[in-house]
Amino acid sequence: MSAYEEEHNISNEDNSRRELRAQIHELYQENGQSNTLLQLLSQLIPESMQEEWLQGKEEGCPEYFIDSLPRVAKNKLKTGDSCSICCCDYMDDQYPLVVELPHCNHRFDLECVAVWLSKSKTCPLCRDDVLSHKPSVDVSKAEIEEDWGMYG
Amino acid sequence: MSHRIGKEYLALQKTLRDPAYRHVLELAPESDQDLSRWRARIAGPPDTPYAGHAFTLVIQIPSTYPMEPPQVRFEPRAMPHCNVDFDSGRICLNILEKAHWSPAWNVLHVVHAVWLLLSDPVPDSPLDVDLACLARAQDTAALDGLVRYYLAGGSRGISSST
Repeated sequence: MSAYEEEHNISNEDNSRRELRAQIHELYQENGQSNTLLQLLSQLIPESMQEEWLQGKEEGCPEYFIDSLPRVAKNKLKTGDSCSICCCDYMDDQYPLVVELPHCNHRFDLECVAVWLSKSKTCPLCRDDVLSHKPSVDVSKAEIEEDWGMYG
Repeated sequence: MSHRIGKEYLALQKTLRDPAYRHVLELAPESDQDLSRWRARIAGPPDTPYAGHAFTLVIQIPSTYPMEPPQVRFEPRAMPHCNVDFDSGRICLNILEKAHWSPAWNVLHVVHAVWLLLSDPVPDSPLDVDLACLARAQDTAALDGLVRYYLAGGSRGISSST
């Protein structure tokens, strides 16, 4: 990591940011959710927040995991299907935002499960560790944000 | 999210008629204006010293529900059980702890779990050491006898006969 830090501290910020972006991109393609990637990314945010970000994983799921949950299309939802957290029918909402946990396929409103997963790593229905399943990251479809340096 | 408890209240009118929940004699908020305080009455399970008695549970729904579990206790000095603190009615049950709770469970699940605990005491995490010692020694006669003594109002317990 020291080599990276040296690069990060060089005067031309644009250059370092571009290199950082390239490194992250490379890492992401190689090993989707590795610790190195997380550490690297954490250096983009202010120091005071880095510790929280890297340690905050202890209780709940990291935010990137919650954000990356696959969404369930509306036409795959049946009338009467409901979120077991809020007990509301998905179809009551004109634009239901439903996600599926990757390892057990249990579905919830994103709004509901995001709150739960921010404090826990278990599926509300089967109690399994939601992080135990590591899907292979399909980078071909991933949108590479143009403005990676938004935290810089 | 706070609508959840209201939805449960509505659904209960139907669910409580299910014979599978016939041991739940009552389960409702103390008043329709405040859905954060509930009361339940459960029948003692058959083939236990609790049979023939009814027990009141006091249930507090936190504002964070269902992300955090409801707080459930028996009425003070009414429940002799190795996982219940007799004086306060506090219950030791893993699903009532934040770490083991799931937001997919509801108030009825909780009451049912407490009811199951009555016929299946866990002496390894006791709140009543005397009863737990008897349970651990598998001295059923002494355990049931002591429970019956308390239930009949012995040692200033509340008599809870139905």
